[in-house]
Amino acid sequence: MDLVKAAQKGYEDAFVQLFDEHHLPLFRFAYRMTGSVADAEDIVQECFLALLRPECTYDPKRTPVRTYLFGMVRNQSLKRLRKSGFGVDQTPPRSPETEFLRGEMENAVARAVMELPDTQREVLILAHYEQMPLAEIAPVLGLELGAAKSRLQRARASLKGTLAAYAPSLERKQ
Amino acid sequence: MNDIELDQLLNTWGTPSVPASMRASVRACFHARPERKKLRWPRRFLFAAVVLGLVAVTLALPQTLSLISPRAKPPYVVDSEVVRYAKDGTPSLEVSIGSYNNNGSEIVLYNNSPSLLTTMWLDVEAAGSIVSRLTLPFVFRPDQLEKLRATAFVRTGLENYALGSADALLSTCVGGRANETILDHPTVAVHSKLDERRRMTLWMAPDLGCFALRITIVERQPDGTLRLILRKQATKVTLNR
Repeated sequence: MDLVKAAQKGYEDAFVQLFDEHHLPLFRFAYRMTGSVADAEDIVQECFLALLRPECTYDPKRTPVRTYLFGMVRNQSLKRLRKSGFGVDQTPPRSPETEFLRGEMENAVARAVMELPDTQREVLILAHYEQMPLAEIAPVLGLELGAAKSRLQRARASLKGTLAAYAPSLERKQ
Repeated sequence: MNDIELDQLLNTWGTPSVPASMRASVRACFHARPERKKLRWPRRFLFAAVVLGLVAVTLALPQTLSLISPRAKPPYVVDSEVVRYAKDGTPSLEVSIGSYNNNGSEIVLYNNSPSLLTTMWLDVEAAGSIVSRLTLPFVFRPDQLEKLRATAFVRTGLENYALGSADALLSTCVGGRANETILDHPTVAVHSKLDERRRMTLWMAPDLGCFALRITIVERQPDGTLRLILRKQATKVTLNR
């Protein structure tokens, strides 16, 4: 039986298996989209619970569960970003501890990615960090393959410009 | 900067580990989620009955509304009482009816009976009648439907009688000679054979669309005598002018 259907029927084992299989990449995606551990945790939890609701529209014949879950996380993340007013030209609030723990380069990369427009950031995160092929990214974002590809190219081009100053230090580090 | 350098730079951005509490929290929510309520058969049956009841009321409502809305008002409403006679001749009020005539067929607007069961039965039957009127086009061929529409019907309490061609009945009524006045309306008596033993007589008022202000049914007894078994008598005529 499909794990989602089994979970919807009340089988806890199926639900836990579903969670264990998917929650890590979803959490990473949500974190990189929102810049907040608390928000990422809430989003991932909410998405798994949404699968159990009677009004859930998930159809295993049409969409793999991974694609469906990433789509939900993406929508929830954007919703939170809009609600909090946090977006393109702001960086996520960071605690002094976080600032300390992160190296300068890591901070710069995080800031650069977060400053990308939402439409480019989500493609880049899925493609680079989650190693998701464009053919899978397109349905998650509701895009044509070509559009996803061009957004990824624009994101990478933009980052090359923003992070150009760090290329020499990268060489030194190596 | 080339693609490899960009990838290396991007890889420096890590993510914090998933909070340890998340798994437990999700599991707790799984247990706390509202159960999907499944209706058991008796409840489903009850639910279906309620829905059917509502449909019946909704369908019956236009009849009531027709009395309220001036545009939907029939030209007149006749209140009648239907009395049934026992074998020993004892009369008993079966039902009171408010109705009018439409192209030779009696349309019941409301009814009331001393017996709650009879009232409920008549309500259900009235709703069923409306449903069947709506579904007739899907059940009968057009020619059969036309024949049905051309048939006259009268209501005598719990029974509904088909009296053949409505046109024939109406022409008999309109062209006949009035022989009795009931509630200030001249009537023409028309006889109709219901079966081998029973005969119906209708006192139809031409000025009320040939509504039968009185109906009697007599039954031939084994000894050859006729016994009155039912009488429907108009008690009030309300003209909606």
